[in-house]
Amino acid sequence: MAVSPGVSLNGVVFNGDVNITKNGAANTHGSGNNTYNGTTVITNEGTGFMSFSNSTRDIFNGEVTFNSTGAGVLYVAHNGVNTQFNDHVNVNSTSTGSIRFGNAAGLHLAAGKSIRVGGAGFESGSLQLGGIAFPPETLI
Amino acid sequence: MGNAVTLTPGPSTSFADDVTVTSGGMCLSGCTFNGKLTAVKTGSSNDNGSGNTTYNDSVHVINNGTGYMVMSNSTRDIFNAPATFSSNGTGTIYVAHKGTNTLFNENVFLNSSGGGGGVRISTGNGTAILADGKSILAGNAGFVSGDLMLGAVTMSATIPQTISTGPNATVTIGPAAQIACSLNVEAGGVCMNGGTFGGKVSLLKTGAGNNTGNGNNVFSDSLSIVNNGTGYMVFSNSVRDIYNGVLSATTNSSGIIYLAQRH
Repeated sequence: MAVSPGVSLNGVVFNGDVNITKNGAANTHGSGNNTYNGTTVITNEGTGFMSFSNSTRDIFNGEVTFNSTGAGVLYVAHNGVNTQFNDHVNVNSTSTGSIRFGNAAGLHLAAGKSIRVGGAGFESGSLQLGGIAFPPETLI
Repeated sequence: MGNAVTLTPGPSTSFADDVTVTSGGMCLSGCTFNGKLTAVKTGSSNDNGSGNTTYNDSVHVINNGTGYMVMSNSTRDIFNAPATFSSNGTGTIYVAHKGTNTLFNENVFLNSSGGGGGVRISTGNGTAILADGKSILAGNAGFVSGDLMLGAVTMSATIPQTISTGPNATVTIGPAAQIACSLNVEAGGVCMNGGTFGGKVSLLKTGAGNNTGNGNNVFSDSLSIVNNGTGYMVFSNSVRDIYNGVLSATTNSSGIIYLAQRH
């Protein structure tokens, strides 16, 4: 587990579970090219934004949860083409921030998987779902 | 999702299956829906969807909130299946708002029950085209209250159009409506704000409110105006109207019909 005012994820292979929290005011870009093979939890409780895949796609092979609990934005699959979500994606928001998927086209959600509201709920803020081809039998 | 959440599907997002979403705010911007869509807005935010969305199966957009919801705020939408718009709160649904040539290729159903909302099509300088043989009409829930506005909408001549609302709703036609077919309107209030009408037109007012139409209408065939309500009806409050067919005006209650009011 890692907690830091700023987090940039640039070309890492995570073979275990990942739990990362950003709590600062800085805006941080991660270039992407990361592979997450376990369960991943990303939380932005700060006021600055945090981007994933600012240039190269990421690959999420396990279930991933994005939590927005502050005013900052979580940009996911931001500019990299063909970020892959091979398991379910959970989104939670309890403050004024937002979670924004897919500034670039080609975000891939595996068949039978969902982008869904997590246990904490999506009670405020905004959710943008861009650049996604939702396959059949997918729920939001 | 919560009432304070704004959901924005798109841009460049496609859905292969049916979608049902409920959110405080809703912006539809650059999507392709290949299954049925039910989109429910519940919150107080005002939401502007840019448009550029294609609906290949039936769509039902519901505004249960107090904020408005705009569709096609910049680029046209394409509806290839029946579309239903329901305003159940005080928030208005703006359809085909600013985009040019939004296409309705199937029937369009309009419902309103919220008391202050309603549905407005092509009233923000956008334009819309209703496919030949299709209709814009009240839905199963009815257009009980609020405003039903048809601005720059083009309807072809093949089948007559009938728009019927309750006595607490007002139908406004124009500006820039192009209606080649015959048109029958029965509503609590009727305002004629600019259009070209190629077929017979029948307007029946039933409500108590006063209605002032700006004018700038051209009626190429007969026009029948009946006021069964207690409120008045004004025609040509700012720009002249042109009546090229037989004009019939009848009052059956205390409501007055004012023709050529200012021009």
